[in-house]
Amino acid sequence: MTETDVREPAQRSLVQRLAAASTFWIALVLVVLCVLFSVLRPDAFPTLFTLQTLLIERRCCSCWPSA
Amino acid sequence: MLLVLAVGMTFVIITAGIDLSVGSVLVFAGVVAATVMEALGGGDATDAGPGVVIAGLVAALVGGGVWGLLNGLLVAMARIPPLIVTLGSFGAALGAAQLVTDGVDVRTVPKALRDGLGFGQTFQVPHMVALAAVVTLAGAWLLHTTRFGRRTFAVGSSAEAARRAGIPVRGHLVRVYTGVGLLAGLAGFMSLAYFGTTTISGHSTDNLNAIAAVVLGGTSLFGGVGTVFGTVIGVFIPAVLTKGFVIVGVQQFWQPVAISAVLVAAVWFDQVRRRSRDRG
Repeated sequence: MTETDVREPAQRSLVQRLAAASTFWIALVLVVLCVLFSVLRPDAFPTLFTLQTLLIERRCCSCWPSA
Repeated sequence: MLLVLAVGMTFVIITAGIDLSVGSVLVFAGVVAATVMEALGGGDATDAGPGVVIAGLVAALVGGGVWGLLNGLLVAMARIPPLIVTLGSFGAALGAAQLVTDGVDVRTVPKALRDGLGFGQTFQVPHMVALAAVVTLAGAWLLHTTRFGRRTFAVGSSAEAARRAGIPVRGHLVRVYTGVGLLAGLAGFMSLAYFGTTTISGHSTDNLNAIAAVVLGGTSLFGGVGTVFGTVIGVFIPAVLTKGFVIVGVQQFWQPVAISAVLVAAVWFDQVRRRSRDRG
């Protein structure tokens, strides 16, 4: 292994490392969904009540289709 | 509760395994805890004190842990595929729970448990949420900063390579499955606190919910890749979709379609990523 090989991972930029992480993309999907629903219903979706129900409601715990 | 199950499921899937039994183990643990508390409360645990509640928690953890240990031994020692082992315990744990109660839900849950854990809040943070957060942080710490976590990734990447590197693969798998059972037991106790009943028929799809959340969060079904943070996001995507569709007024039948599409897209993305990585 050459010195160049060893250095290679460290030379990747933060953006490149983020883009390579699937967690980043799925987090982006979550953010896009929240923004989308907030734009569609600004009076109802981006509220503390919605956040609380997302965290604690039964629906949050069993949101799979047949639940 | 789903988050607690999903954190455990993350460990199992990273080892390239699967656990279909978590929902049934949750029910079994809840039934065992409720039965123990009812017995200690003299037939009605409604007014039971903290001692009885703690006994119920221990019973739930033991009930869940024993199923997890059994799964782990069958997977690691008997070398039966995890899908088959946990499919078996999925049915067996639910059947055992129904045997204990004759199929009737136990409804005398201590008021102290319901008020304290089920609906209690501190600084407007529900205790259920706080407990789930603590479990998640502990899971993230265990997976990403400890030798146990590194071994979990190693076993999932290549069990043979891990064995040759001196990792006790079988013992590690037993510990991982036992841990998942313990978390399912804790989730069963939380379910008991929140619903005030054992909800025997209410958790038939919890296993799929947990697996979907883990996969959505970027954990590879082939093992060796995954994060607890991704799982947290994976838990919230279906919840946000469902809530958003309700608020926007989309017909409810579109919800499963959308959630399933996101799930399939996540797995497809994982496949593309793996192929790309393999090509170098």
